[in-house]
Amino acid sequence: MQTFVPNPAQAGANGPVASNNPADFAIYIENLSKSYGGSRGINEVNLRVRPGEVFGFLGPNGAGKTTTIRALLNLIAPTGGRALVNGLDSQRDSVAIKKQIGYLPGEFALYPNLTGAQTLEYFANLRGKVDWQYVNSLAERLELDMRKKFRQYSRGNKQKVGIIQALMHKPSLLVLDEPTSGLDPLNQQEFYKMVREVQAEGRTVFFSSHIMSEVEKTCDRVAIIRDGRLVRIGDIAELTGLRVHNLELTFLGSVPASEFSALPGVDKLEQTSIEGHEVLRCVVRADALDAVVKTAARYSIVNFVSREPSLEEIFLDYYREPGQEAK
Amino acid sequence: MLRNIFLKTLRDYARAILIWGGGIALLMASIPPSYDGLFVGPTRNFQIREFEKLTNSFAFLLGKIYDVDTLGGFVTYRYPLVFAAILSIFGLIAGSGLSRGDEERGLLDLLASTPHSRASILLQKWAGVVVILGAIGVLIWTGLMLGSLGSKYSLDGGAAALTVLNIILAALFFGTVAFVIGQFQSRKATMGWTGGLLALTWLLNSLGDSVNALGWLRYFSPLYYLSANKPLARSIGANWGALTVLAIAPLPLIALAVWLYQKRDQNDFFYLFRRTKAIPARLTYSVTEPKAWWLANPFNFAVKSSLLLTFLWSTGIAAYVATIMSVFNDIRDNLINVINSSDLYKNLGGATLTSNEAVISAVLFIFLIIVFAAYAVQQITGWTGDENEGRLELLLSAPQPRWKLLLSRFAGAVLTTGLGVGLVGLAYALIIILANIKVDPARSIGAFVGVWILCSVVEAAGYLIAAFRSGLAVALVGGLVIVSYLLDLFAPLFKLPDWIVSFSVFHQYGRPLLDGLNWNAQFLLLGLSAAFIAVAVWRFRQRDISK
Repeated sequence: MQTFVPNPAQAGANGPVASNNPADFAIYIENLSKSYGGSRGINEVNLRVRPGEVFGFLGPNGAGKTTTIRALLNLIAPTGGRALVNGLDSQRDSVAIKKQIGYLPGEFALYPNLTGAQTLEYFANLRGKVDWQYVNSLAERLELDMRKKFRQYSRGNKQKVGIIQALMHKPSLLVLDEPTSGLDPLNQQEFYKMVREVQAEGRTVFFSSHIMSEVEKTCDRVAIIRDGRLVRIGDIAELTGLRVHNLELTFLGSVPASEFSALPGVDKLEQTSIEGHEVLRCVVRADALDAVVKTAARYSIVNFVSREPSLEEIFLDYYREPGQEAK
Repeated sequence: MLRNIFLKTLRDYARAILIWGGGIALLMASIPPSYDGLFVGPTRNFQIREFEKLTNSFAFLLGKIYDVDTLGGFVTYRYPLVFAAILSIFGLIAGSGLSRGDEERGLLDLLASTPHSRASILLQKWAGVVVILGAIGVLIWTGLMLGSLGSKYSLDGGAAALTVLNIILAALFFGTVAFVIGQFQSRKATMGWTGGLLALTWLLNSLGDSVNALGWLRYFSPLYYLSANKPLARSIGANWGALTVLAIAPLPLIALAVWLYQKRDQNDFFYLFRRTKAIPARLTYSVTEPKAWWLANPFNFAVKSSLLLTFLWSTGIAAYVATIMSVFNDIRDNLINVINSSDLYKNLGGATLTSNEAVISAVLFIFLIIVFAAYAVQQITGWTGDENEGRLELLLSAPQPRWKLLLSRFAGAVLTTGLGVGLVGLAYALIIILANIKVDPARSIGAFVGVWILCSVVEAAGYLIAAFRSGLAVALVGGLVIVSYLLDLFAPLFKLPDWIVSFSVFHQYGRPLLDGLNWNAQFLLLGLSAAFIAVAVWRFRQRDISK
C-alpha cells in the first residue's frame, strides 16, 4: 500500500478545487492538533469539506475521530491549528457555529426522567425555532414513541432521540458521530434516506462510521485517520479507482523475485515453492499491472490469479499499523 | 480485586475509604489532646459542672452529656452523633450509588447478564458497603486511639471500638435504607429521600430527648439506639440491647431491597400501583408539542429540576421549626436559667440570654444554617451531574454561550434556595404569630436573608470548583462546609485565633437574630460569591468538556 500525505488543496472538493478561501467550505480544518500529553489526540489534521457533500470520517477506535469532531464543536480547545465552519472560527464564533450545526455525539446521555418529547422540546428551545410537525414526522419515520421517558428507551431508541435532536432544526451542517449505532436495519435505511434528503437540500453531512457499506452508500468523500493523523482523503470513486490487485502467479520453474519487487507499484512480495512450482504473491497497484504481466510473460507461467480487494480491505489496510499484516 | 462484585465494590471505594475514614480519623485523633487543655487548674471540677450545664441546654440538638470529667465521656459528648450523621451521609451516597446509580449508568445490565442472581448482585454490593464502613471504622478507631496515646488521659480500646461500631452501624442503616428507596426512585431522589429521613430521625431523637411529651418519638429513630449506647461514658456504658437493634435493623431492610429488586424490571422502578394504559387502535408516534414553562430555557429548567428537592428539604426544616417553636414557651425559661448561670458560657463569649431572639438563635438557627448549607451542597449536584453523567456534551452543542448556561443554572439554584429559605421563614413567621412569641421582625428577616446569602456562597464555591474539576466539586465543598461549621462551633472551645475563625462562612453569618445581620460581612460574602462565579465562568468558558 502506498503512503499518502493528504493534500488539503486536493481535499477541498471532488474535482479540482475552485477556491482556497476557508469561507467557501462547510468545514475547513487546518493543522488542527490536540495533545493530551500521551499518544492520544490528533496531530496537524488538515481537512476540507465542501458545502452540500456527505463526508465520511473513518478510522479505528482511538484514532482521533471524536477528538476532531469535539474540537470542531469547541467542546475541547485545540492545542494547535484551527477549525472553521462556514468560515467561522470554532473557538471565537462557537455560538454562531452552533446555530448552523446539528450534532450527534458518539456517546451521550440525556435527562432520564424527561420523555422523548420533553427532551426534544427543551433542545428545540435551546436551539431556537423548530417546526414541531417536522419533529413528529421524524419520529414517525424512525418509529419513536416520544411519550416514553428517556430512561425507558432501548439503546436504539435513545439514538433516535439523538438523531432527531440533531436534525429537527434543519441545520446547514450535520456532524454525526457513528449515527447508526444501535439502529435496526430498517431504521438504518430510513436514516440513509434522511441523509440523502439533507444532501438534496444542499446541506452538508459530516459523519464518522465503522460501517463500510454505509460509507460507500452514502458518502461522496471520505477521510481516514489513524493515530491522530490523516492518512487518506479522497472520493469514493477515486478510492475504488485506485484499487490494487492481489496477484498470485504460479511458474513452472524458478523466477528471480527481485525482477518483480523492483517494479514500481508492487508491494508485499512473497515467494514460495509448492509442489515444484514457484509461487509469487504480491499486491499490485492498478497502474502497475501491465508491467507485472509483461514481466511474468517472460517466464513459463502455469496459473495467474488476480483478485480485487473490497473497499473494506482497502480501509483495513489504512487502519493497520505500519508493518502490521492482515490476519 | 476484580474477582467478584464484592471485591470490585471495595476497589471502587478504596479512595473514599481513605478520604472519609482518614479525615474523620484525623479529627478523632485531635480530640484527646484537646481535652488535655480544656479543664485545667484547681477549678477543674467547677469548669466541668459549668460545661455540663451549658451543653445540656443544647441537648435537644446533640443529646445529653455524661461523665465529661473523663476523656471517654468527653469523646461521647457530641462526636458519635455528629460523626454518625456525617458517615450516614456517606452511607446513603454509597447506597444510592451502588443500587440505583449503577443501574442508571447501565452497569447493572451488564452485571445482570453474568451468571449471578439478582439477590447475589445486590447482596455483594451491600456486603461491600458493610466492609467499606468497617474499614472506615477501623481508621476512625485507630485515629482515636493514636490521639489518646498523646493525651494524659487514657481511653479503653474495647469501649472505643464499641463506640465506633455504634457509629458504623448507624451509617449502615441509612446506607441500607438507600438500597430500599433506590428500588422506587432515581439515584438523586434516593439521596434526597434518605437524607430527609436522616434529618427527620435526628429531629425525632433530639426532640424526644429534650421534650418529655415527645419522648415516645425517639423509639422510631435509629439515632436513639445510637445515643442509648455510650460505651465510653462510665455512668451509662454499653447498651447491648440498643447495639443489637442497630445491628439487626439493616437486615430486614436489605432483605426487602433484594425482594423488591427481584420483583421489578431492570432499569425501571418498583410500582406500588401501576396504571394500565389502553392500547391505541392505531400506533402513532406524533405527539402534541409539550409547551411547558420549565422547558423554555436553562434557567427555568434549573428551577423546575430543583423544586422537588427544595420542597422536601424546606418542608422538613419548616416542620422542625414549627415543632421547636410550638414548644418554645415550655423550654424558654429553663434554657435561659441554665445558660445564664453558666460562667463558662460567658467566658466562651456567649452573650447573656435575656431575649427570645437569643434563645431562638441558640436553639434553632445553629441547626438551621448547617442543614441549609447541606441543601446548598446538594444543589451543586444538579450542575455537576450534567457533565459527570454525560449530558453537557449535547447541551453545549446548542447555540448557547457557556457563560449563559452556567449563570442560568447558578441563578436557578440561588432562586430555588431563596424559595426554600422563604418557605421556612414563612413557617417561622406563622408560628411566632400563632404562638404569640415576641421577636424582632427585622432581625428575623435578616437572619433568613443571611441563610440565603450563606447558601449562595456555598453554591458559588461549588460552581467554582466544578469549573476546574466537576467530579470533585460536591465532595470538596461538602468537606469545606463541615470544616467551616466545626471551626465556628468549636472556635470558643479551642480558643482559636480570630483570623482563622473569620474564614468560616458560618462565622461571617454570625448570630443575626441576636446582634442583627452584619451587612458588611454579608456584602463581603456576596462579593465573594460574585468573584467565585466570575472565575467559574472564566474557567468554564475555556476548559475542555469531559465526555
